[in-house]
Amino acid sequence: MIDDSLDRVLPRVQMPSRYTDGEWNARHKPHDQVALKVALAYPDTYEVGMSHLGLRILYDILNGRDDALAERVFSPWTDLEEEMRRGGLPLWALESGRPVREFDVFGISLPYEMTFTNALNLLDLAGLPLASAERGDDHPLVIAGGPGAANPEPLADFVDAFVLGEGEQVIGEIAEAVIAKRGQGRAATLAALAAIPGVYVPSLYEVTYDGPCVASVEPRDGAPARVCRRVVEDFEAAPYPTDQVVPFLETVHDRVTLEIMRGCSRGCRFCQAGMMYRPVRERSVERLADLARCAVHATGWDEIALLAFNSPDYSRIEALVDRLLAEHAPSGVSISLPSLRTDTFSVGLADRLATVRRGGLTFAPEAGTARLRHAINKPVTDEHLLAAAGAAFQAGWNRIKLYFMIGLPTETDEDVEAIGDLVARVRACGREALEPQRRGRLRLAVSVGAFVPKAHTPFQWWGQVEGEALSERQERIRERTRLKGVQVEFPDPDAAWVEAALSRGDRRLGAVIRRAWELGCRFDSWDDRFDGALWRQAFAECGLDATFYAHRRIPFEETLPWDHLSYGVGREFLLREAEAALRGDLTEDCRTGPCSECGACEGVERRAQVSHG
Amino acid sequence: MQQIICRLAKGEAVKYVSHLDLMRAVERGARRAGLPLAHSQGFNPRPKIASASALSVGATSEAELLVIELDEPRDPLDVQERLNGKLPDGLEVLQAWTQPAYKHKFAIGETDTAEFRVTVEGPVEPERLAEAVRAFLGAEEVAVERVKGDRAKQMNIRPFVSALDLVEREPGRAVLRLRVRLSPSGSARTEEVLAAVGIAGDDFRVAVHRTALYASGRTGKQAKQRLERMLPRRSAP
Repeated sequence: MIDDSLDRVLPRVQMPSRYTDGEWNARHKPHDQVALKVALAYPDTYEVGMSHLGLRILYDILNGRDDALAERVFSPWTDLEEEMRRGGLPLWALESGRPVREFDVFGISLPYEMTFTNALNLLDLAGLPLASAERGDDHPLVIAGGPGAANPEPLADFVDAFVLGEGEQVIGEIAEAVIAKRGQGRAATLAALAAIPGVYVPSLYEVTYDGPCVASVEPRDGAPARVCRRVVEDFEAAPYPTDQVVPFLETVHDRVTLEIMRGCSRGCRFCQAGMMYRPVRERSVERLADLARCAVHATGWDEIALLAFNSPDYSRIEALVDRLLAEHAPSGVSISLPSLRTDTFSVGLADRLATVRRGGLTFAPEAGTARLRHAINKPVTDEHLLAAAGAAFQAGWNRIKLYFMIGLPTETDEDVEAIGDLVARVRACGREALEPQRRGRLRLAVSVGAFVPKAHTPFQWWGQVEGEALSERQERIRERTRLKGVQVEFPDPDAAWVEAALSRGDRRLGAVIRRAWELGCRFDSWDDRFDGALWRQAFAECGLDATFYAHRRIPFEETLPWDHLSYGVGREFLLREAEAALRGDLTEDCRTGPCSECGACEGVERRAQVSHG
Repeated sequence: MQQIICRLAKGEAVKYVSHLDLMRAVERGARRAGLPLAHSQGFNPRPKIASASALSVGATSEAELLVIELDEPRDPLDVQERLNGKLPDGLEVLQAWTQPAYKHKFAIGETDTAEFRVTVEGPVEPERLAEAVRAFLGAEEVAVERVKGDRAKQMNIRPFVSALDLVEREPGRAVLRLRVRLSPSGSARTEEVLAAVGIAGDDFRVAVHRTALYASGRTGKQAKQRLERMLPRRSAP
């Protein structure tokens, strides 16, 4: 909705259609006919937020209810923020143009730690006190969830309740609890929320410290001692929005995102998503074909992306691809696989999909040596990678992407140097596979990220390698990859430590995040916006040591700030995996090997689960 | 194969949508409407939808011209109706008609004139504005500076303005009618013309509405005759 005050500022900002709503399938429900109004926010730009499936699912579920409505909110870019602050324009929800302050619930999706300052900024722009304790009965409840809430402790001061795990079922329970407790005050509502499985109300927990470490986390007022994440049991029937909002602007993922499976049991030891979203669940080919047809019809998008942690892991991927191609290719709708594993099967699959449009190919071997790939439990061999790359070049790709990580636990100089050597070998293999006239066009885009230890993973105890050492390791790779056609991208070593500190942080970091926000930190996940100096200043002013959070090896016996929160996988399993990593032992995928007793299936009934051979 | 020409309205609700995004919205609307869109060949096939002269962000219009190419012939009235059922609020096909394929380039490529109605609110002084408009029309040269990257270029916009009338004027409000020539060598931008008559800055609220987009026929008699058969008739004042 474009009201008059907005109409006055929009001519002065970049990409004004980020803020105007009116897209196809946007839902406009009358405010006076529902009991519950929810503003659903994503703490990044419209283009990023509209690419997020989770937000679309919650939007659909809430608007599908007779007693509720949901509207969207995204972070205004800095130019609009300036206009808003100058003109006293409060943060509004797109559909109605009404201030967020007038809603009952302000829901914030947290994709990851680097959006925390933006989340605070949203609260402030909405005119809400930042601290949960300073908000009253007249303010919306602030509820957050998503992968960035894996360890929600750094945001405990600001958020009234966190949702752990998958939101499809719990969102309805939350809506009902908030409606039932209307007029009874915040305390009563929060107590009711804390009684819902998977909902964590941080103000009901007392944290004590032993020097720099967390000593204990004690619940009060009947809150559960341990909050366990929610998981959708019947994934086949789980709500999936087919009539999704179709943006005018070109968004990051501007297409039908068809979630074919959820969870991954491969067990890469650095991977938080792979631990948090267990067990693995699939939708049937039949259901997916129906959903795809409805979604294309309702949106007019010309691409269907099959979303999974690793789409070829879907047990009937070939049947699904054939079915979708037969139905959609004739009308110019392409099928794409955004994530692929490193093997020739995947290349064959990608080649088949290229019948309509040829997408990019990305391989993620992560580490340079077989030894380290064993330690992280991603046992891809060099031969696999080279064969897959060769197949890709032969099938017509001139450019492929390679993802590596440096600073992984147990990494040595030899492992780092091997990354450079492996890149050179992939290039040589490409030159061999390509006809002489295509050789000049060969491109390898290599991205080398820094390992960030994440809560609820086997590597949560390891520290991140410090900036200087990280730079030195980057240099080792750089000097080995000065080759024509090879482009290597390194992360800013100054940014990785902030993410590491926040991902393993405790409640004391709330002050740091608040200070960083006051100092002007916004859009920290945007390379050109991030300012490490401001974060260093924020840590220093709060008297906290970033090294303690980001770079320290935490002893196994220490209490972790997130020990009272469970994502299904047990501490014992994580410990076993950490020790296996040190020995270089592999743990097999439970879909093909024995159960690894991770704990994720406990109490979970997997309905409509497709069996695996 | 068939080509359908659409005259499209771009209303208030979508005025901040850029030209490229608008084209994509029509493309998606056409797909939702089940129209048999023709696609280009190659690695990245695109639907064949062409447009005349991009409208600037923030302006509304009742005269956006699009050519949509279909694989199978359809009744243009049917296309109009289906498309209108599947376009976001603010976008509407006002007219649709067919033309033989060989004329495609002509309809889009030969449009060389755009007309605007510009409504201005703010510290408007009617007499002073009328005088500024007279001075503008009487001048042979109106120089503006265009910045491209780090280079600034002087340009005379006067030859591109073929009409500028003050249709309504009262203290605080004025309506202007502007006709500009679009040519390969350039054109005059609405905001440049307004600035030249003293309307610029945050104190003014300006609403730009494109009322017509057409071929004036200056490119040849034959072209004009063809166009008269296909485009809604506009008499040049």
